[in-house]
Amino acid sequence: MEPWDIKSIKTETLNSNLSNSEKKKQPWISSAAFSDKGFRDFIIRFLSTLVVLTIIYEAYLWFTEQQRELDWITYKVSELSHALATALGVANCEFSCFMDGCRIGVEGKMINVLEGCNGLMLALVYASYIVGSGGYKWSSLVQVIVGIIVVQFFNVLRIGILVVLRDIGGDAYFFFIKYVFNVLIYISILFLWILKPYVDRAFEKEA
Amino acid sequence: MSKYILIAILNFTTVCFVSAQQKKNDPVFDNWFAQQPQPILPQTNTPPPPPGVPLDGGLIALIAAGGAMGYKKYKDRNVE
Repeated sequence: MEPWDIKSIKTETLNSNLSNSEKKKQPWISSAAFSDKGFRDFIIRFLSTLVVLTIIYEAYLWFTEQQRELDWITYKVSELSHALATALGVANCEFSCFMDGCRIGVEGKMINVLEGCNGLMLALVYASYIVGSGGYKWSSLVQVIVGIIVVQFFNVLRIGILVVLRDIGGDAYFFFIKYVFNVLIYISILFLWILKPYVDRAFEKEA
Repeated sequence: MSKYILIAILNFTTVCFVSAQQKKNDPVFDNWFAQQPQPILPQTNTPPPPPGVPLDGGLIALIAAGGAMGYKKYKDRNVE
């Protein structure tokens, strides 16, 4: 170290004042985190599963586009949302599907359910975390299936209520569509991730 | 002389005929010949599509949250 290297002197002084435990806590995610085999395996499994599932999903979308059809997931989500909106009391609720998506609602107040609205990408991220964290096990598969059902349940609920709000009119529709439902679905996914260790323990007890 | 008169009459007739033909095809001239039937075009101003209800706006944040939760999990395991 040269005498004019003030930056190095300052860093050295700072490090010498810290205790060993503090030095360990200093970086939030250090390179040491990736040297931990468990975390490294988690990241590899998480990202590789996400990439593989996304490629499969995109291939399926490409295939349906070539067939000039709407994908089955968007169609089913729209159909169930329409049924929910009708059950919630929206009179003359119409439902029509095209190649790019489905339109639900009363004439003149419809909403457009496109591929990006079907919630499957969120479900894929959720499933990737479960596989990344738990590995390729039967318990992971069960959690993935249950999680996808939960995410799609919230999504159908979201679209159904949005159709009702659009029918009623007012500013509530824009507030709900922009903030409330998105936050609700993201929180439900985080909640399922937090629950995962407890579910794993339950599976271990049964085994 | 009669030959020149004949050529002049022929030229005059030709010019009149051509100008009449031009008037018929040229829409600038507003006369009976210029009244061409206009094709009926369908209206192209279709109503805008209804608004979408996108959901995958926060995917990157969700992936980052998953990574952070995984990091916390393995960090806690190492502390134990």
